[in-house]
Amino acid sequence: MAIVVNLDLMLVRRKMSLTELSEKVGVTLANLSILKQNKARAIRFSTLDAICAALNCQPGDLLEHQSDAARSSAGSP
Amino acid sequence: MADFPGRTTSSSVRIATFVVEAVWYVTWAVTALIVVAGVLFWCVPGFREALVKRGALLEQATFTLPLEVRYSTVEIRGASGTRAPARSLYWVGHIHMVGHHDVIMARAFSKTDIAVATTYQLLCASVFLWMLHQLRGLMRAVRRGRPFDPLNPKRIRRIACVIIASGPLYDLAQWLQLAGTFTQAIAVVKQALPAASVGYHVRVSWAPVVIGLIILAIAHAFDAGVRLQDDHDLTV
Repeated sequence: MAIVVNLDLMLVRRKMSLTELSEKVGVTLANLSILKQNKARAIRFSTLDAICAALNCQPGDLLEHQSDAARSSAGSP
Repeated sequence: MADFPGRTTSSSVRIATFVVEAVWYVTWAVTALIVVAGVLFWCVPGFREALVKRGALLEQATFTLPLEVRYSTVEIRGASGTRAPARSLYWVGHIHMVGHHDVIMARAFSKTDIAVATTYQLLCASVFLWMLHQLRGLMRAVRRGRPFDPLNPKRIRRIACVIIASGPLYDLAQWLQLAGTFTQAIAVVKQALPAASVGYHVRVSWAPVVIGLIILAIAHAFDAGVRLQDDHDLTV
């Protein structure tokens, strides 16, 4: 998918673990893991709101659009 | 991801599961009986003798054709109330004569018959057990609260294919049985009554085909359900 979730980047910036975020947001660790690994098909506004509030960031900090060509060139050595 | 809904407590699902499980174990028992009976009939002549129906042929009193049929060790003279003289008979078959009365014929019970009948019954039981196995998997998924498990459309499709194939295959087996049994007897009948129209009375079953196609359509609906469930599961 062309939408990339930068949750791991934001967690590093905020020095927060996924477990800690899970407890603050009230979303299961399994679901946050799906989000972090870019396997999610969709994200609810309520979840996005809770994550942004917990990480003190904007949705744009978490979500990024990357074209398939850019992703493939970024992935190549 | 959707929260795991847990096991369903629906009484209809529980009853259906119980019925499927019961049929599963009964079918295994019947299959075991088929094997035991096949072995006993094959190995122990006394069992074959025990099945002899002495003179129980030509039960239809309307049999009036002046006809004598010789088949295997059996001799039948066509007169009302005639009884067959052979001792080693157990199996009665029918030949339908168009424009005449039904002629009941019988044939001897050989070891080949036992082998063919046992193989046929074991084949039917195996296919039925395989279908039940699919149904059990389906019921287990439903009880777990996951009716749209990705395997379920495949299971439903397999069940539909077995049902669709069962009708024509059963008809074919019946026809083969009649053809194998009465080819010689029909030749005798035709010789005795050149004007008579003698033929196999075999029906064609369309109901299993129609039911199977309906179940296939349900499998397509389950495909859509699986896609929706997948979307739902991957929504955070």
